[in-house]
Amino acid sequence: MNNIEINEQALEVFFKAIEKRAFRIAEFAISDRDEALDLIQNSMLKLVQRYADRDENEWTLLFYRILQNEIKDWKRKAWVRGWFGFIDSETEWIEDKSVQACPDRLVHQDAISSAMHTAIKQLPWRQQQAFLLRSWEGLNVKQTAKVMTCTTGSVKTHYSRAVTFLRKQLAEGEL
Amino acid sequence: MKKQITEQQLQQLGRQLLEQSVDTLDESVSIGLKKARQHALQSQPKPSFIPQWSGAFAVIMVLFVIVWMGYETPVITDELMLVEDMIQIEETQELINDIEFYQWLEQRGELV
Repeated sequence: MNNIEINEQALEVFFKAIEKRAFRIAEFAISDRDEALDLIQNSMLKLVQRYADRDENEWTLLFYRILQNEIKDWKRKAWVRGWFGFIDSETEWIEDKSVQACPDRLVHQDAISSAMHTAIKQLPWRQQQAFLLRSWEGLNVKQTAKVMTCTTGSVKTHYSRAVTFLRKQLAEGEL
Repeated sequence: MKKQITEQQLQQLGRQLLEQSVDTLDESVSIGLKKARQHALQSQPKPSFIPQWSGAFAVIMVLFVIVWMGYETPVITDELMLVEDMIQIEETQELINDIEFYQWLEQRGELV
């Protein structure tokens, strides 16, 4: 077995391990299932084409960094569409689609999960991503800062605000 | 009084929720992710077994061989020896010189 095959196998294992969580993170950010899938595919492509030869330990950070850029670009395009007056109806459609297209969300059956899910979705994007990357993906402050291309101070601020908001929301739900 | 959730509990709850949401992803998303993964893996640039400089190397080698062959003494084949013999034979030389005359004779039927 040559190095290329080993590398391909390692990449496949890596993607299998990370893809579902990454998909949820993207879906949280843009509220559109199909678009989230596209962003994941683009991120995978870029990782394979540009960074496949890098050390495996770097892949997680690189992948999430690419994904963050993809999300940022998507939001920028959505903003431009909105600027030219095409977004109002589309935003509504995206939100509706997100809710309707997720029959698998058994989490909604659970009140706590549902409240948490809603609260996370309500977070501003950067706070949401800081919270998800840190609490779910287990990245530390420094790693999160690399992924989000900001300072560790900003990550701490985003994360702290996210936690404060979520606690408030969940407490209001009397959980 | 409302119960205050700790940061640790919040993290745990968040992780639990998200893991649960991943486990309950529907089939279409799983298929979409599989396709995305396969597409990405297929796009991996395959390093060629032939090095990039091999083209230039091949050209240089061909030029070298051509130049080298130019100074090489020709291999003497049977055909070459025959030609050489024909040139050296005086009669043959005479025949070649008078070829037009012999052709004329042949046309007139006087040669036979």
